[in-house]
Amino acid sequence: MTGIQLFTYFAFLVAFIAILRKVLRYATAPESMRWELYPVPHEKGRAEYGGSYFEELDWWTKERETDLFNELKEMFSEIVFLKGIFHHNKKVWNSSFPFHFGLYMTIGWLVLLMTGGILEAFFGMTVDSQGGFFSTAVYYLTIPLGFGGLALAGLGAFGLFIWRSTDKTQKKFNAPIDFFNLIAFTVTAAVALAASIMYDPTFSFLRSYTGSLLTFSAISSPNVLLTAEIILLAFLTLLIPITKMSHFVAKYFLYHSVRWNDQNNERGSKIEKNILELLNKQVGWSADHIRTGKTWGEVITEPKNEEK
Amino acid sequence: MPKKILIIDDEEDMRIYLQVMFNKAGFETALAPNGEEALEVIDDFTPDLVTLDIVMPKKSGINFFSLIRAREDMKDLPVIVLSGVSGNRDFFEDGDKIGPTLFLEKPIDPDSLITKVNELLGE
Repeated sequence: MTGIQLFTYFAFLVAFIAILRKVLRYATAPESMRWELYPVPHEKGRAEYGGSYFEELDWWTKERETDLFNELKEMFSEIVFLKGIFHHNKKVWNSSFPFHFGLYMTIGWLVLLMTGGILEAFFGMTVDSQGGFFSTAVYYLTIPLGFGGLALAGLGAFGLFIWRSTDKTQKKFNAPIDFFNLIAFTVTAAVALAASIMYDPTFSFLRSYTGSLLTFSAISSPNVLLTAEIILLAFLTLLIPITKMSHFVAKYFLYHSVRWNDQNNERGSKIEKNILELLNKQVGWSADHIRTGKTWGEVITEPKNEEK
Repeated sequence: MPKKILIIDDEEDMRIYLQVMFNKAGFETALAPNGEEALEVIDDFTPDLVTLDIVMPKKSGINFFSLIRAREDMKDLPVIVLSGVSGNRDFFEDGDKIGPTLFLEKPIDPDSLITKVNELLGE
């Protein structure tokens, strides 16, 4: 094993653990305070006008009808096109959309590199322009996804960096890590593009490198720029899940548990059980207006002394 | 003892052409149709020089090259890359860990190739 291979394994291990930890934390978080904001896209026939099944006077007697397709359509618009930002902050969308779309393309590129690495390492195929249908398709798709994804992600990150640096309102909310993250993306994309254009235009080396990771065989990068490309890509893989850049995890739970969750609280339901558990928890902080030591259930049901 | 050359090329005509040429010049040769088979014979044959095609089935020239350069015993093994396309020339010629490597475009001039081989072998 070479040093860059060990670092790549380390980066993927950290990323896997960090993402798993985040998912588990959100999935096992206490019952969320819901927004009760409409439209909720899974409301069948009502999402278009922001309606809800609560409109029906006797809604509890009727079977609920949900529209999974409409929810998936809404998720697709939000994930791929950042619909919310487009409608509410066009200035940010101009950079955020290419940045995110570039990231999706880059993820696709990495998946294809891995697919190519598997084909070469385990199936004895060479992914090039003269292979079979599948390996040739992988070869030709890898090139535009790689160059397009890196260019868009790099330009988008640079655009967001400029926006954060110049926007008067945003300046109040900036933290140094925000700039560091965007610089990391911009530099990684620039180095990866330069290395690929100069030394690896068909990504044959990166494919071999990916294959070597899967077969645990030592491989050497012959060139400083290619080595820098691998180290920076691995570093980003490690950085994203341990910073707030991995907000996609939070966003999933924000939409499904907070924004779109319109499940009613029925007797004996899981929601009721969760709420009762929360009401039995003791208030763990103190202030003049807080009755420390009591349970939340007591706080909301017992009148304060001055109200008696 | 004649110097040993491992010829790696997926085209049989090319392998035989190079083999005849090197044998006439007094070298001992071994043949491999791709990088994968080359990796299998390289330890037994212990070549003094390798001629390498890039586009090959099973294991490409880039893959083979990167794998042998990671090995301590082969980081200084002379390699002559013989390719019909010049797209990857910089990969083999420009770097701090490429070892003694030469990139030649096909078609090859036999006299020139023998001269380059002798130069790389220090003959």
